Amino acid sequence: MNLENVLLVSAVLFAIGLYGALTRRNAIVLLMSIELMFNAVNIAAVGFSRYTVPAALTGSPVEVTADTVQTALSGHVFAIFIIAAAAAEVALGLALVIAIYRQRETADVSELDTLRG
Amino acid sequence: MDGTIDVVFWIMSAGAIVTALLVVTVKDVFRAALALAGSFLSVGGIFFLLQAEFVAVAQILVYVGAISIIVAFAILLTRDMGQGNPTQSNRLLVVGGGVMAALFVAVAGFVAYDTNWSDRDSRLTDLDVTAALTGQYEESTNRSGDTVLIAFTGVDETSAKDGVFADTTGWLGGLLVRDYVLALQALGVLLLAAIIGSIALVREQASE
Repeated sequence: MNLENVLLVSAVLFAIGLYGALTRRNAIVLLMSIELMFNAVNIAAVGFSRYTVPAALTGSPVEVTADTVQTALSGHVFAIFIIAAAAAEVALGLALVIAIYRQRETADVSELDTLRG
Repeated sequence: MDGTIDVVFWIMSAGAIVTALLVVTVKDVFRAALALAGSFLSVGGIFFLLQAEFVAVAQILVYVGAISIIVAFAILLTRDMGQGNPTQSNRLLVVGGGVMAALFVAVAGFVAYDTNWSDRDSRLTDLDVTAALTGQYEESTNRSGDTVLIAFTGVDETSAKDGVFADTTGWLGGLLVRDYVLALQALGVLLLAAIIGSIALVREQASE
């Protein structure tokens, strides 16, 4: 388990989400695929946070201060923000899907072509 | 010990990838939602292995606990038995999606394995940095074998643990309310707006 393997897993998960977002027609499955991609990004952020080192820790002598420790945890903060943003996004997205379903009786995105010229 | 962590990591990764593939391939949308919860759980396990305990717990609480349930509710509210989870009728788009996904893995994998992360970002080994961050070592060796002096200022050395970021939750709390406080407040507003927006969208219109 090293940074390369973590990034590879993250890339594979992102690609699966990408494939799902491009090829599925059910709006809810589209949202689920987007969540998969968010997850992949989170893995990469936390992986970088775990395996790479802030510039402040690469000199000699190394001075470990509260600031450098916190810089090393920036990836975690990004992951937490992404999780919260994803929660907001999925709540809004599913509300849209339900609102559309009430009007059009379908959750199939290829039938939502009102704006097609 | 290292070997065990490797085995667990690959099991978690395989679980996350297989369930993710199920999400985008199974015909029944509800089964896709269950597979999605499994994928979220496996990713949470990967976060634990990456020593990000707080993120892992947040992942399990928010994704497995909340988002999976919301998705399941949305499926039940829009269930259309005959429709299932159809693939795009345009075959070109399906082939193109597959090609794009494969290309993405190829490019990202190449970048991940070709970049020399440790030389670019650190002259210290993983172990030494972890030890330094947890306050275990006072003296350490960097990658080229030189002894490096590590000075601790403002780091609580008593909270040191074996090979784990000490007290990540406490550090994260400090980061969130100091360096990232503006983003945190904006996120609160975003969540509020999202909740109000969702309610406004799905509210039954009384007079129509």
